[in-house]
Amino acid sequence: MTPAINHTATEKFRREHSPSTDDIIFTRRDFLTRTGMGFGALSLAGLFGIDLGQAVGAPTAGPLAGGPLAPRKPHFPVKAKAVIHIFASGGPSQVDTWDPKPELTQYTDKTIPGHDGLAFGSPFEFTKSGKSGVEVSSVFPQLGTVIDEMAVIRSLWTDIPAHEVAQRFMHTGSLQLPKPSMGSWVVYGLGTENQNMPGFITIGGAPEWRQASFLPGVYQGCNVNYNSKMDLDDVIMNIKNQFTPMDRQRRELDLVHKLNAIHADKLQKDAQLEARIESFEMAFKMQTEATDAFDITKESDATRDLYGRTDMGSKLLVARRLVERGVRFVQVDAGSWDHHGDLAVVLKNKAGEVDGPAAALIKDLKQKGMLDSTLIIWGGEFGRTVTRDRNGSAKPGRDHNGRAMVAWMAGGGVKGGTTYGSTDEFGARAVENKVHIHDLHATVMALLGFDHTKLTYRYNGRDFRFTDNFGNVVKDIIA
Amino acid sequence: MRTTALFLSGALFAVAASAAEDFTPEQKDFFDKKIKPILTDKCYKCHSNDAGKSKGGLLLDSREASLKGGDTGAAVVPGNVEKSLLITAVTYKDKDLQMPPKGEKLSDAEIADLTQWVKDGAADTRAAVAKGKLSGLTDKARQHWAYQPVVKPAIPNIKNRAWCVTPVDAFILQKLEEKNMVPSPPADKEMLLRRASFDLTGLPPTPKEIVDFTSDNSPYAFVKVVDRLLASPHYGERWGRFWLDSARYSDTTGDRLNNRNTDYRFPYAWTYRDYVVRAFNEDKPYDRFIVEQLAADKLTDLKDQRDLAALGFISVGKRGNNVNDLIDDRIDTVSKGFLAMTVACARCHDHMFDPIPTKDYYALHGVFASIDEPKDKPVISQAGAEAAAAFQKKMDALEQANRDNYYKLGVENNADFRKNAATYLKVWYLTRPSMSAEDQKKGGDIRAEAKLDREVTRSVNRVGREEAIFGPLRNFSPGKWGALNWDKLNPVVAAAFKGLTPQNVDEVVAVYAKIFNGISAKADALQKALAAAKDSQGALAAINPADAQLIQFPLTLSPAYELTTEQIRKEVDNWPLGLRNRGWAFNKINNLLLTDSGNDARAMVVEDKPTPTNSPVFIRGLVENKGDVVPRHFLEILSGGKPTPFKLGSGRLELAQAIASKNNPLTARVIVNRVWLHHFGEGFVRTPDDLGTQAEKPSHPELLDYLSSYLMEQGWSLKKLHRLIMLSKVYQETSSISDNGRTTTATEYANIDPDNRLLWRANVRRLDFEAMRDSLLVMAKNLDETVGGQPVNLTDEPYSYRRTIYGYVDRGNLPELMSHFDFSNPEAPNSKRTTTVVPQQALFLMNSPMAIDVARHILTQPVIAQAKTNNDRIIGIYRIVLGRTPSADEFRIAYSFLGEELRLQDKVAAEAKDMTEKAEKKAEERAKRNGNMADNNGFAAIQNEGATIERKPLTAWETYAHALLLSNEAAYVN
Repeated sequence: MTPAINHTATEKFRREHSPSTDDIIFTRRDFLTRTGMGFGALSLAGLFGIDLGQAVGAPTAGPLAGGPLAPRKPHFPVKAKAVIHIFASGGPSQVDTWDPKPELTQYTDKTIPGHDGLAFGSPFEFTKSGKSGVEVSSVFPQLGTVIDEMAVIRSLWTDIPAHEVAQRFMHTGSLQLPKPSMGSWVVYGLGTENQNMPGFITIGGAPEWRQASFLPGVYQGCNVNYNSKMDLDDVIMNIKNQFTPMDRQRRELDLVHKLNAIHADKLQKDAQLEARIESFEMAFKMQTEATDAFDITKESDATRDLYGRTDMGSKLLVARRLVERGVRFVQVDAGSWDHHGDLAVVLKNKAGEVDGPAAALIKDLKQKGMLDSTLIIWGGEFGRTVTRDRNGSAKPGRDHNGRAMVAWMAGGGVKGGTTYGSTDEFGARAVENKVHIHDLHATVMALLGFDHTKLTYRYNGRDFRFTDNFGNVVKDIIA
Repeated sequence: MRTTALFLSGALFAVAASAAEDFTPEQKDFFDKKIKPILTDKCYKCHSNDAGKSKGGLLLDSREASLKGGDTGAAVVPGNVEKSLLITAVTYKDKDLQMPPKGEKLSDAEIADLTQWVKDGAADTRAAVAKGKLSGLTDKARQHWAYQPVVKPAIPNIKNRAWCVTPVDAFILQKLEEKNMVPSPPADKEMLLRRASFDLTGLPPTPKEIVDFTSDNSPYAFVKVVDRLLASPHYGERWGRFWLDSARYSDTTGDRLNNRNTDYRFPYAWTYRDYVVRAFNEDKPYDRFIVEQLAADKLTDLKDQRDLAALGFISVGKRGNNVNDLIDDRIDTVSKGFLAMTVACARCHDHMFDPIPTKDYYALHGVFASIDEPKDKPVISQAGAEAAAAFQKKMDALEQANRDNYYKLGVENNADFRKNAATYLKVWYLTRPSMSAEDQKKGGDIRAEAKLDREVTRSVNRVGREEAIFGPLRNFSPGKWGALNWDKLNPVVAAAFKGLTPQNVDEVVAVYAKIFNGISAKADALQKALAAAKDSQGALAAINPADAQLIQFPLTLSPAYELTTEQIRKEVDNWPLGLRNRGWAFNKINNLLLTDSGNDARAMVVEDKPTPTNSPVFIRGLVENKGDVVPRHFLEILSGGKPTPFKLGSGRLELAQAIASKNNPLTARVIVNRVWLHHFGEGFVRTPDDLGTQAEKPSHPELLDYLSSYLMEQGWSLKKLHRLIMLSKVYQETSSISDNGRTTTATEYANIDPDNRLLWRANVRRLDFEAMRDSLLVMAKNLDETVGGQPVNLTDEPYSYRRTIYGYVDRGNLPELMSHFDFSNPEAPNSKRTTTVVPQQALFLMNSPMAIDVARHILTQPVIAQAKTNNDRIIGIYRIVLGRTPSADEFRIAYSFLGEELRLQDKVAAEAKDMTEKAEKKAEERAKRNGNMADNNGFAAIQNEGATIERKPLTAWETYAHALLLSNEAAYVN
């Protein structure tokens, strides 16, 4: 067991993280505690003479071998090949979902030490489920049936409990500066399996959650505002020709290839010119293949019923179809979990939207033999308070809380049926085996076969990585 | 998987462990788990490099330092608890040596762990510090070529003098001859013309220009072309755009968090963009260009008011809520933009590779900490009277709407409070933090039951600050008034409570209900008067102040004459959250300022603060960790010795002059390198924003210096620099490798110099986003050639026909199309575009209505529409799209394609019928959707006016033209 490393140690962290937020988030004491540690082991790989030239994505002026999207091997052989990130934006409550706290319930409507306001015990029951006996909230009956495939992280925490900032942090590892998103890093590292499809597809969510930032534009998430009722022609920008039937377009592209051959004949062999020819073929095939991937009417009734014929059911089914076609990273926005009031009702409804579809996704992937190679991540941007939301209400909810939050992962080499870390007795703050967002990122990268310290990209005069100067791999949830 | 995970952690920590002595895993584990956390949490604050402190001369952040100890001796003596001062200190045995200081004494368990650790030999896993620390403050770094003065080199002796036309050629040929290589033959005239046209104007040559040049046999034919292109107003649009990449130009702050405290969009960034275009067109001397961008307001010889817009260089950067980030953006942009130096790296530590101490960073920090942006930006060009009047009318309406909204929300809020005063006040009373949990719950329940308005509830928390009105409630306790100060009370309130001794809070709030009920009629009158008060002479005096104080609760409303947009914004910022986002016209006002041609153009100027200040070094970048104050001065490495402190105001002008100096070794080299980059595809150094020690050596250092000297000798004229470069033989080489049977030679050369760094041929270069889109507009004859003006939406239908440089650049959300085509990321200076190839680019050309429309318009041009023969028609299309005449092969391919497609046209049209009907409907829906975007949150793109593109199938000929648009040749310059 390596020591828990304090991410907040470096001046850089403080520079980027502290401005304007000190007084809202931290008491001074908290702040000092959090920032007391040196950053010895965390310095840039370069400082220690690790040859970045050997790393995938070494700083390079020219294109990556085989084109920027060609499939590449990670640093280590692993099972996970694709990611489905179900993002529960809004900040799901930990104590109502994956972190049962009977102690909190005992204090309901009383004050608890160290907290303003009244304790608010979860209105939901938890039941030990599966062989592993992990406790599952009554709002997730279906996920309870696949709990043995899931690893629940109960000690996650983040820096700033404000939606936009925390969401940016979750997706890019950066609070303020625009940095590449998780999917962009993953496709940059691994390329993608299907050259007829974008490697990183998002179904909804903010632009920042899919930005390539300083990585080449090819790694930007391709957003699809998919819903089960939408016209398939609208799923990707310019995906459908509205002017020329397919067979003529085919002949037109054949003509283009002939013209390109004449052009190339006189020139030095050029990888980029060839890539451009390929890109037209890819685009042509995408017109049918991409729309086909979104066409869930091609699934059997049994499968569609398994996922549920709801919006979320359709989206996760599409996610599976995309991964099946070799898309590397699929991100589904499954918000909005910002339950300030009436939590007993609205959280249950919200959970009900994703419960069946997510369980179906796990079962379906398993049955298709794809679960090992597909990493599923569920979680939001922060957790919630264990007290009633400040104003008090007959139908209470919870306020934002960055000190404790939950996430679960399944498939992709994750050790199923486990829980990791814990919060204090009330579930208000992570205390044991704390997992910071940077650690989660490092762990995702490890599951995909990367040493997160070595997957770098040179920009603006220095090498950047997804986890900045931070991140510890949570090894205990890796099978 | 288990092995993998172990290996992973091994890789991470192997390095750190290698620096430690041989300790057992148990010892190391003990250190990591027990000791290190104590040291880092309790000791590093005052004894570590990280904190920048070594109190008592002691550092505890490495084993060596601990063994060495501080002023009083070794902190740790392995195995010897008695001699280890660390243990003496933490046990508090010695009253003069107690650490950590009073009140923070370690726990007994911690002390026991430390003692055990020392006893066991003080095992350590930390890497040795200090030793490996990288620093650019070395003589070696100072001797880096880029920091040495520019000295004009002699023109080299070369064998093949006959090949050379300019000195540039001699330098190029010298390197080739060293490798026994010969340059490529000249490009054919059509290729050369296309290259020169795109290079200088970003536009393809017109068919007439092609004919003119190819039929001009004078030796000066190309000279004429270059001079014509340099004189074109489109030159500034092309080269201005390159500069805007270096200046991280954007029309928005990128700050999507600002919660309407300021506008998200800069309404006047475009005046900086237009200034840059004009500066290039006028061939403003580059040194002057620099000085204006940093200090136009300080110049006494500014002839054109519009030059004030140059200061946008400083102000169009990204915004957040941290002033030091704002300053950092400016330091970064100045140092990278003009000097290709990464000074921003020195914000937290001395630069690791280049000779830039942190002091230098904070010397510049002081400069930018001493400037401000004035609220009223100067008008630099007035709109026409008619447009201005129309604009003013629209603006008046929006401002009135804002004021109306202000009074509507404010009056409703206050009226609701007065109506339910008793309940609101009771809830406020019960839910105060000091109340018991039970009371708080009760309060919450009352609130929910009475369905109290959320925003009014929020605004009522001001009760706590209004002692004069709410003293009786705040000081209430059953049966007595406690510390209530009757003299300070509002007379109306005092009168109402006089003589009462309420027994419970219900009685108190009942009195308030009466008070507030009693002033309702007067409230209406006052609020009407406020809204009608167009000037300060209004009839506000009629209301007595005691009543007014009550009426203005919970929200205090100002008279209309004070309500500028800024004032409303400021006041509303203190209103409850829900009201801050309800029905305001701020974004519409911002939108109007940005898009209405009747708005005057203003410059985004900066000005010096009345009292300039020096900044302290923020140790390790931390604001609260202040080090020595540094006088404002220029970078030491470029100052030729100790830098002289700036004396004039913020020091911007002196900074500008230091940069724009012939003695500055970087300034000329940096711009020459970039000019070369845009002519040849790569610069002499391939990192145009970093010529520091981390950059590669220049491919042609002497030529770089020759051209830099030349630029300075020629009065910093960039147009003269272009001319010298373009009239050289090297610029005019062919990219083709098959000419004159050179295929074999080329294969051989490609082995020697695969990247063509020696320029033995011309590079094939992809058109960037601007050139790609602009060339489509030219082919369609749709290009609107207007120079300058407010930004337009480039990516949505209805499409704009303005040049791409006039597109709206949203730093916070760059449109997908622009990022797909590798548009420069406007976060930071970025002088070189990436060139990725993605299918989305292909889809845009294949399927977007814009590209389809271009194909159609090509066929309507007279040269094609009136062509007598198919041959002429094909030639016409080639000239328009590719700027050349087709070869025999290409004719054959054309005929074969067209023959087939003409034969199939009816069939295709029939197939396309359904498709286009559906598309037509969708386009209408989309147009409707876009129309609704006007009511946005201020983040959405601006909208153009115009027509949508007709959804009908292309004809055979149109399809043929469209195919040419998709070809590689159309997307590249040979």
